[in-house]
Amino acid sequence: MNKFKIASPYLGALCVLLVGICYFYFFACYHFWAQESMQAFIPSQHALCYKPGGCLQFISMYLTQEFVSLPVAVAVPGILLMGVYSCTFRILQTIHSDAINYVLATALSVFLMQAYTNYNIFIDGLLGILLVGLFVIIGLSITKKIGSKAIYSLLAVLFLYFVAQQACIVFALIWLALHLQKGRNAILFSLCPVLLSLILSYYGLSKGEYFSLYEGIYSLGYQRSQFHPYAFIYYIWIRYVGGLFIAGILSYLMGFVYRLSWIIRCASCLTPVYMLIMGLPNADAIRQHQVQQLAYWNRTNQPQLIEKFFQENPITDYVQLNYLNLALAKQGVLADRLFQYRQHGQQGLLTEWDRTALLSDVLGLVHFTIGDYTMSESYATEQLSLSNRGGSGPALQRLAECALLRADRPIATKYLHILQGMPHYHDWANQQLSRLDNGLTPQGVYAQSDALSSQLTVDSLWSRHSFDNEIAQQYRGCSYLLGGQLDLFQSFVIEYQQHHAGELLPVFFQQAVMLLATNNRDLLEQVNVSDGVHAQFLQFLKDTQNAPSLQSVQDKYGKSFWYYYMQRKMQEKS
Amino acid sequence: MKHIFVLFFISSLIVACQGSLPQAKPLAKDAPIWPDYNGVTIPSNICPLNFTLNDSLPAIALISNGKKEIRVDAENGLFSISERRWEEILEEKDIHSLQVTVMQQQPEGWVQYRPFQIHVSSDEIDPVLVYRRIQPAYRMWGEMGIYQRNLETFEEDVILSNSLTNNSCMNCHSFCQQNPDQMLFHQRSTYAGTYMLQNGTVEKLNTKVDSLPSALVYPSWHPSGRYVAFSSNDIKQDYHLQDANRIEVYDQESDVVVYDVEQHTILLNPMTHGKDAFETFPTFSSDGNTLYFCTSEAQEMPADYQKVKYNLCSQSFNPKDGSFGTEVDTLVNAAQENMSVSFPRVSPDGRYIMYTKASYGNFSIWHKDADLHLMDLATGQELDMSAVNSADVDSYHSWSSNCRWFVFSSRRIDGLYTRPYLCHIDEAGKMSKPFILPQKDPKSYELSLYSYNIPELVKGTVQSDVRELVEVSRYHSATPVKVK
Repeated sequence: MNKFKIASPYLGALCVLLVGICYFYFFACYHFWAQESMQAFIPSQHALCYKPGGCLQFISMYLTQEFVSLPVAVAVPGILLMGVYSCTFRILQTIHSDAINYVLATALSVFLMQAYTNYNIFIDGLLGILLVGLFVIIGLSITKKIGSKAIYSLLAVLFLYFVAQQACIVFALIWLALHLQKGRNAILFSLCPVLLSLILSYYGLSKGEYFSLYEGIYSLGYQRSQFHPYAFIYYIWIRYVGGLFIAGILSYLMGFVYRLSWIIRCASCLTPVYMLIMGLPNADAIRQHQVQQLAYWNRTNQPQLIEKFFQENPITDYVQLNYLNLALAKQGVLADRLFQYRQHGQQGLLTEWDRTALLSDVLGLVHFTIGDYTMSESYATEQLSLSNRGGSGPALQRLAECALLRADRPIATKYLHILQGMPHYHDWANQQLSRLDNGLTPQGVYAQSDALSSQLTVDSLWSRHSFDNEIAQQYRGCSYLLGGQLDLFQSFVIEYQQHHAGELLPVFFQQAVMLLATNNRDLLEQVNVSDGVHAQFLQFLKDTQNAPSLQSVQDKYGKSFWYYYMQRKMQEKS
Repeated sequence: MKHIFVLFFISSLIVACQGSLPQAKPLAKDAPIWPDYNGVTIPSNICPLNFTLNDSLPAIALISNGKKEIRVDAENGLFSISERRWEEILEEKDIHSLQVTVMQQQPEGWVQYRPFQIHVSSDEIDPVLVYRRIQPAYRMWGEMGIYQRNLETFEEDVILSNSLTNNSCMNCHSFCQQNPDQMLFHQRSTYAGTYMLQNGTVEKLNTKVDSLPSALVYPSWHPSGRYVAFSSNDIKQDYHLQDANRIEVYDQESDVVVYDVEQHTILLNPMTHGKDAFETFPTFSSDGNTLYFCTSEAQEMPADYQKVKYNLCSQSFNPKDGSFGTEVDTLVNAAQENMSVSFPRVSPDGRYIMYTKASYGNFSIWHKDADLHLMDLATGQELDMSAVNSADVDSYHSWSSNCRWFVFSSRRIDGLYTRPYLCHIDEAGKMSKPFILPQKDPKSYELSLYSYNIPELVKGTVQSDVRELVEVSRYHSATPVKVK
């Protein structure tokens, strides 16, 4: 038998903590914010705690909302992960004390670390496993008498059922597995908690209080269709239990392969390396992290950081492009800097809604910034419905803002009273409630005429705004440019210039005007174009006269509307 | 003996802690309580009417039936009445009203608001209310479910929640004569079908047939339980850019049919089958010999959505052979008054028909001007419902089996979230002031982001098994229906 002893099990735990903290710092530091935006949590509503599993949800939601800050966002999952690692290691050690447990426990911890960010298992997911692990190792250490252990395991099942709902089944299964090699009586006594957990679970299921842990066995696609925060949690719990069983079997088998102990030693030494390699996030996780970062900067109104981000990173999708263009619009430079970044058509301004809370948030934000409050309200409502932990703080905030702009006092009061109960929104809600006392008048599009949304195009929506609404007009003009709709742009820009008499137009509007002026010289008399843009355009015409390669044009004019237009036309032809 | 002594000691302590009543200065104004129970009529089998004051100052409420009085001390502004003691004061014989006196400790001392009356009717209400809880939404839905609430307690149970059925949409639950053992509802999206729950069995139906615009939609059971009248609607949902109504739900096409439960057959109605008119919201008379429905001239949709004006019509129906009469009578010519009728519901005794009237369209739950109307079927006269209606939406309604109560949906609180209101109607057809469905903590209405949709009163608890419903949803294939 391999009697190799680990120098210090604490070293492994410390290692997991450090790597976990680094991982969460670099790839999940905005995860708390994202989770916060998917829940509507009012601490004074304790009713949740009295439902099976409600306590775990309450703690998770409370932590997420009360302590939205970088240190907490990094430390909380890091500590939980370390706890899970320690429990896993101790459980494996009871099966067979071996160095491989170090590797196996690390592998399971890495799996959970990635699951935390990739599958949105929230704090509940980690905390549930930690509780199960704690109850298992306490149970294993308190006594060796079978009867006492059986009573303890039954009490643990009861406690876990009320605190963490179906985590009690996870506990009972692990408990049973750990007693499989300890004789007939131990197995029989270990079946009691399994039976109790199944009865409790069945009771809850028949009351329709939750769905079965068993459903976690199905694919990721199935879990997505469940549209329930616990779908992914069960998915991960079941895989963790499966992983633990396999790890336990491996650990047990190591007792029979003593001669291979040097391999195990090497593997143990390589654990930190292994962890770093396996623990690196995949492309989806990195993208998710970036979007969460952009959403955070947007919520905290830091458009310059968003722009800076894209100066250093490539744009990978329309969601990112929407955030970038929104950030430019917020700084009032959309039509001055739009083509400094790689653009991909009109969807870069307003991408298609994909029935997710994330895009509902993005589109709601864009419309709100432009002043399309009804559209914004509609997306905020979707965000509220699609955020599956009882609502969404930011969505409620936007709905309250829209209700205030609509001068709809009763519904504004309702939303503000809910927000008042949420720690993260309490102060803002109080400020807004005081606004109610000063009287409200409808603003923006709420003061205009009605139409059904299906009868409106984006163009007709934005053309409803007055020319005083600079953001809306820049969006409108840029939408024409991105769609290559120069005829519509021409009539727009003339009107735009009339409302900005004597002023120079934004750079890309000027560039488009120069392009239009090749067929309509009179346009230059109606619209102001700077000498610089004029000269650049003449140079552009000269440079592109002899059909140069697209690459050479890109090198010189890649950040101009002319290049974008030229490229678009070539794509249309091909 | 020891235990009795301890109990006696604890009870004495509780009584002592409540203390004597303070000397309060009477005020000539009503207590600012919420919900407004001042002057409402309640059934004798209703749960306690817990209420709140608008601030959390110490307060006391004395509820007296003239013979007994109970004292309730407010906790953070909430008057939570003991269910047992509430039952005791309602159980007393010959009780016609309760007097509620509210006292509050204000900075300048205790004040006593003007006492108010809660009228108690000996007409009991059906003990269970079934509703769907759903967030108002523009395009998508989130968590929703069909729930049953015991009106005699605060107990609420789920019949089916979409958190168990992969986020399906569930709607249009309907009961045969308020019978909890005969129910149907639809699921859309995942596990689509019409689910018939009859005497402990669940049947899943696929009601989509080529000759109708859609699967069967708005149901109404025949009193015999043999038939269900449905409409088949090609429904669209859109929203307004600037209108208080926010959402517009309209039909592109619709027909009214009857489904034969025994034969799994849809009986097409020759008088309503076609594209010249929209027909929707069918309902049977209490004797089952007449079919009522709403109909409007077909319009170009959605361009002319405001021109859609539904009249309330009737047609004879022969339950013996499932045949329809050849004449359609107009009961309410709402189009003539430039109005539109929806959701007709005949009282179980056949005396009244209640419906909603709004300025256009059929989905009146989104129409601010929607009000309830009641017609005496014997005289054709409309009864006064001014005590019931509000300035906001008052729409979907259903009757209690004894015809003395009805429940309806209203958005009178905040204009967006639908809440159920219960209302008494006496022998002479006079309606009392309605009251909102009581909750253990009335504040939950303010904090809830869900609407109470399609409130239906039923005579008892729906005994369905959630697990069975989920299993049928997931693993049973839907039985196709035929067209006759």
